[in-house]
Amino acid sequence: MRRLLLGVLAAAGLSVVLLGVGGVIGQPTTPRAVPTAAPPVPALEAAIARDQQRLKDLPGDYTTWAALGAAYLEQARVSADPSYYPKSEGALQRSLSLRSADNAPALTGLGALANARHDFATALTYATKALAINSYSADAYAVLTDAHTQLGHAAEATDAVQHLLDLRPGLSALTRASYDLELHGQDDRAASLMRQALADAIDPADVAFCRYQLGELAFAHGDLPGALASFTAGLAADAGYLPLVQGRAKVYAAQGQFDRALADYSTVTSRMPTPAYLIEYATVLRAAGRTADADAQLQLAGAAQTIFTANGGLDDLGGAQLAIAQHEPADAVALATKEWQRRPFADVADTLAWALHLAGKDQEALVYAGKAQALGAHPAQYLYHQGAIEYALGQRDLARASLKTALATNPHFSPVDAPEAARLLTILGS
Amino acid sequence: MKRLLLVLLFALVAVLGFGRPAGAHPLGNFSVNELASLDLYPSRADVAVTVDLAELPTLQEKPGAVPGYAAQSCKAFADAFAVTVDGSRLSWTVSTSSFALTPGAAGLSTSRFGCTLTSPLPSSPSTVDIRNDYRADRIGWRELTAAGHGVHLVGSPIPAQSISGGLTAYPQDLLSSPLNMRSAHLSVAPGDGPSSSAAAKLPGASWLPFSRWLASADETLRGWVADPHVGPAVGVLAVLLALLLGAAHAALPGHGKTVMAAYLAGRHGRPRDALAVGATVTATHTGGVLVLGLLLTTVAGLAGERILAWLGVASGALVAVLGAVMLVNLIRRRGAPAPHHHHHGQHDDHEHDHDHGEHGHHHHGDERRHGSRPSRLSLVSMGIAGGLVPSPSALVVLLGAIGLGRTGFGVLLVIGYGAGMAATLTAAGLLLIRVQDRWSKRLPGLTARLSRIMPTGTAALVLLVGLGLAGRAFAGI
Amino acid sequence: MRITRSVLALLAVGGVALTALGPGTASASSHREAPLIAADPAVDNTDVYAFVSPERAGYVTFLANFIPFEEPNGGPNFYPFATDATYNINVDNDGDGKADAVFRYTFQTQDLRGNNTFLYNNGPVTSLDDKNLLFRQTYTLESSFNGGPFKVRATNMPVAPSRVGPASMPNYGALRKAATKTLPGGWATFAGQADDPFFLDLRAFDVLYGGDLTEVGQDTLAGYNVNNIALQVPFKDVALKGDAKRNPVIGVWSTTERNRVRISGASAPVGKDRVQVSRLGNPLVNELVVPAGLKDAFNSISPDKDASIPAVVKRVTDPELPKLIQGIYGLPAPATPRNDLVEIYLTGVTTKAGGPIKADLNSQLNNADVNPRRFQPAEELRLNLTVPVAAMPNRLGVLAGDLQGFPNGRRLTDDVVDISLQAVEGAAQTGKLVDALAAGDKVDVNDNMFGGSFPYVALPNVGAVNKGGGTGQGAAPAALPKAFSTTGNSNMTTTAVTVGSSAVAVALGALLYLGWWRRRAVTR
Repeated sequence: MRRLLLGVLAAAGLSVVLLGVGGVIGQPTTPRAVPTAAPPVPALEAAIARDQQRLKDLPGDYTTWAALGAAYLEQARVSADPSYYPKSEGALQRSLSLRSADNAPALTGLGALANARHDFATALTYATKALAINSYSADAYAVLTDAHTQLGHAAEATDAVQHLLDLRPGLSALTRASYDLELHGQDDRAASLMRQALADAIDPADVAFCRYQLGELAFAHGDLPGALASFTAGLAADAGYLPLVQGRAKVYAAQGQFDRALADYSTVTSRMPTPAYLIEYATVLRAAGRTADADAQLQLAGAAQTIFTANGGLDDLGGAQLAIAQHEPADAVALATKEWQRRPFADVADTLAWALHLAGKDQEALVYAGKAQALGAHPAQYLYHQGAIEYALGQRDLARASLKTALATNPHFSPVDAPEAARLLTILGS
Repeated sequence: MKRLLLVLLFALVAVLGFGRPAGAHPLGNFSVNELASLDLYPSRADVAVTVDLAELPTLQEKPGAVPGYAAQSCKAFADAFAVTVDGSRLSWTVSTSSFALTPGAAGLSTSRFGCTLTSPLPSSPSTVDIRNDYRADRIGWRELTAAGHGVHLVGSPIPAQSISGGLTAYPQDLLSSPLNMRSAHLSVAPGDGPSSSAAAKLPGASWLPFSRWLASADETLRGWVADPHVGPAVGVLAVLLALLLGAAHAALPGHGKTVMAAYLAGRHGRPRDALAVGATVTATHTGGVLVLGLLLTTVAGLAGERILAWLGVASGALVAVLGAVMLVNLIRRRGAPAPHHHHHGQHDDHEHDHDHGEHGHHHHGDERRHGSRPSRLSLVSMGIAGGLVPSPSALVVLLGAIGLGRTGFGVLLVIGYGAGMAATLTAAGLLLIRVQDRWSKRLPGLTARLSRIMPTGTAALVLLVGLGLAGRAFAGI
Repeated sequence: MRITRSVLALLAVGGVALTALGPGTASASSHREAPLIAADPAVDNTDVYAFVSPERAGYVTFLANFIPFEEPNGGPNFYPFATDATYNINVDNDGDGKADAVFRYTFQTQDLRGNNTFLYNNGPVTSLDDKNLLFRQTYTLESSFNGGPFKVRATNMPVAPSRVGPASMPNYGALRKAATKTLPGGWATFAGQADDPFFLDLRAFDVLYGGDLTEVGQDTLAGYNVNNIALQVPFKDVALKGDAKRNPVIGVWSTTERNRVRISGASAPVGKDRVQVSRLGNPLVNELVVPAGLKDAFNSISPDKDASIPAVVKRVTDPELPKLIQGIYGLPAPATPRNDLVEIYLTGVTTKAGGPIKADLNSQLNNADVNPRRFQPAEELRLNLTVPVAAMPNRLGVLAGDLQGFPNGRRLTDDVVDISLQAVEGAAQTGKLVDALAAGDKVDVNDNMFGGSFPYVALPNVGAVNKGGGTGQGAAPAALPKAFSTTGNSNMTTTAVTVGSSAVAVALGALLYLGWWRRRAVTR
């Protein structure tokens, strides 16, 4: 009996020891990692991941399809990755196919997509339809604002943005309101609203956007240190936001630091070889004396524009600006005229004016130069164009005034055109 | 207004129905898309690289105009592709490079270049860190795949096969963001991976429900070993499970149970002998697994399967030798009706009573017990033979644990496994002895007849089985 | 005119059709694209609760929660209240849909982090003014009664900070306690982070998108935190004419507002008037009654305008959910117009509005001093201050006979999803619970226990909520396939079987072994 007991005890003891040791040794060898405060995932990316997961579980959720489509579109803008556009379109169309009646979010998203593709008329239609369904939709008003602005419908644009401010005064409303003010020449108020928007910005990309606009506003008034500070602060928030690099490059070029400027332009155009950036790059290369490289970049810009058009894109404003850079004023006039008929927007008027001037049609050019400044905005570049046209027409006093104001507004508005303006002014001054 | 709406409706339909214009790059005209497929061998690493440049980058680079473009780009890729194995960065040699232009949108071309890179590895890898920094400034698809040959990846974060068909068919899934996999951390373990070895090696896996349960229990155990967050409770459970698994595996055919049974029966073994054999099997098996595990993890290039096969041969040979010795002894004894070998004196004291009882019992019967009692040496050799071939599941558990840095835990599990085996084998042996005793009481006649042929029969059986085992193992090499 | 239109249309068609599904470069020219769907969670109302304080007689408690889905490890910015918005608790005691008492919270931030760190604290925080707490907020509480000017009631009040973690805030309870203040005059107030007290399985509403009620039972909000504002005031401060006995019913809702910005009219300054950006009264109105399309309208207007929006009224009188449920479960949808829902959501349960529910529970029409001609149906959380506090609160509230529960105000423990589902299927009208939906969303209690005293909400959660999805970068699958995970239900079974059979095996083995020993001992 005692032996039995001993045997049992021995067996039990051994098992306990064995199991206990197993329990102890089985502990993880490394302590569970304490989560350190890593930079947060931007709300946009987190929202995309959440929506993707939800739709895998519940593919019939048309609301989330629309939200995902809008998020993809936003991500395309933030990351400059165009492969998000087809995803955005697919998701929005899926939402619409799941619920075709009263699906305001999907229509709004499609409108935003159309805006991104420069198809402002379609965007206008979509936004109007969305508002007919839901007249309190802030997003639809935002799309409407963008469409009206780019189409040159100034009064409707202001009206739309005020509606937007009255519905949801946040980042999207404030940035658009700031732009509206800027287009009307009220740059101080524009900057103040953009600063308010900056305070509301949460995602790094949104902070970067606001900083970029503030930097541009500073640059437009010749405040190079202020502009550089804004761009640098923006890059501190989001180092990958390309427009900030382009802004900084502009400042460097204005300061004569061509090496840094060209390095930044190279970065920008590697990642986003759009015609606009490539033309700017070429301009600065030319100003730095590297004409062969400048021509190469212009060639690339031409290819980019061709591809864009071949893919179904429609951007005659860009085409006109390219034609101007390539010294083909006839083409520029044709394209700019077509664009003007499509949308009487200030930038289009200015481009058309300059194209007409280069084509020798200065009378017509002057008309359009005036139209560009009709809303009250007088950027240095518009004034320079006006001054050059007036000079060509022999209107010396007017030309002198325009050129003087141009250089007073922003003495560094272009590495090539600012010196030219100064040259003309010297001639006129005599 | 209605017309406008109709026309726009048509536009919507057109948008939906209109296909993509031919030639446009699916990921955007300024993308640079990259795929790096890593193949890991015990002694080298190979990378198959594909880079697909869209129209604008192709135009910017002008690859056609630059001689040796492919080689240059491959060199640049190799420089930007950092793979760190066990702390030291590999330096690549470019084995091949190729390049091709294909027509793209708007009369421009897209281009594609491919490389194979290779680098030797000083030892079997255990951790691999990949970082692809080639053209980090460009947007595009970034894909990584990794596969092991002769080694296997434990919990790999990247797939083994390309999901884009080698950058030819980019998936257009609306519910996944564009792939941007630029870095990965891999854990590598030697051997071909759990799924291949265990299933192949389980003998008698035809007892379907039982073997399926066994397989899932195996997987559970391995899962627990691998799970970094397992707590003490699960550790205890794991040891229990190892015990059970050991018992279960021992219950399957193998480990020389047949032989042991025959041996013990033929030699009229006692419970003590059964215990002794059981203990020896356990010790041999545990030791064998530990030694083999140690060898496999430290010596590169050692193929587990081959070793197992050779061990199988050795085990079979040992059994055959034992059988031969038994036969020889019997023949010798038959030949010389020498005085009975009573091993009285050789038995320990505390067994004395038991022996007397049994001995006396049998003595009255007949001359069955003319054969000698199982000698300690033969018991031990029987045990060694039975435990010589390590069970693959135990081996895998140990290797997995070592690979994850939990060697102690792995050893403990193997010991538990062995204890389980011991329990089963001992129980089987004890049962057999008990049955034999009862039989001999119940059916004296039959027993008497059997007992005459038993010794020879069992010896012959042992010999044959041993040869069979050895032969089968040899065939499997 | 027509020709130009069709030319335009054709151009549009051409543009759109040719754009097809191919990618285009984002901006070929300098065309500004501003953010569209910027996140603005700080002004997002999640819940409103109103109930008679159980442990403080004569006082009513209002809880208003903001910022949904706060992850406990949400560093480094955590979840501050917005400083450019006001957070309001509104009370209507005469039924005209306009607030008669407004309690306004405005927040200020002190950010001492500078550019050196983004961490919330640089050491353990043991008190609200610990110098290790680098980011802190304070608030000002103002009130306005019967349209009068706002008076400051308290200023520079500390906000309980976001709970960073156990190492940073070893005794968060002390911080919570220090932020719970009682003002002279008796008002109690609190603002800070708390466990999200709402408990429900959001998948229950997948019914609206083709799902059904089979996948329920998980508290979607378990583990998440929320920003909470709590206020406790005496009855006399919110009841009509200060007399809660004669006028026991009040309607409650919370709003957030931002300053209005005017850009049209060049010289108009930034005005003092405000834009209402979010509003919430009864829970789940947006899910059960008002569909996504009307949510924006609902957020913008004040309650007195609800009845003037036909689409809103239509969604109450003819809701979509019962039809969906009929499609899935075959439960016949109650006949429209759903005047019982009008009573619950828009007027309060009363016999004085001609509604089908014959009870006088919580409508301002039952206030003695109310002018019924000025009564306006409006969406408000209506509370009858004189219904006695239930000793044993029932989570199904009024539908289970507990008159202190939702929709008579809302207590923390009321299971509003189940109550609302039942109500939308007509249970309030018939007086009987609908059996097929009896289980509801199978989430009946909050994951944390509520406190017994003001502010009642549980302390913020501290462990990470384990959510999948990652960063959407084609993230790696889990290191272990799901079958290996120790958290799956199926593995519990395997484990149980394993343990059980090992125990049996060991026992048998031991028995066998010992059996032999015994035999030997016996035969010796």
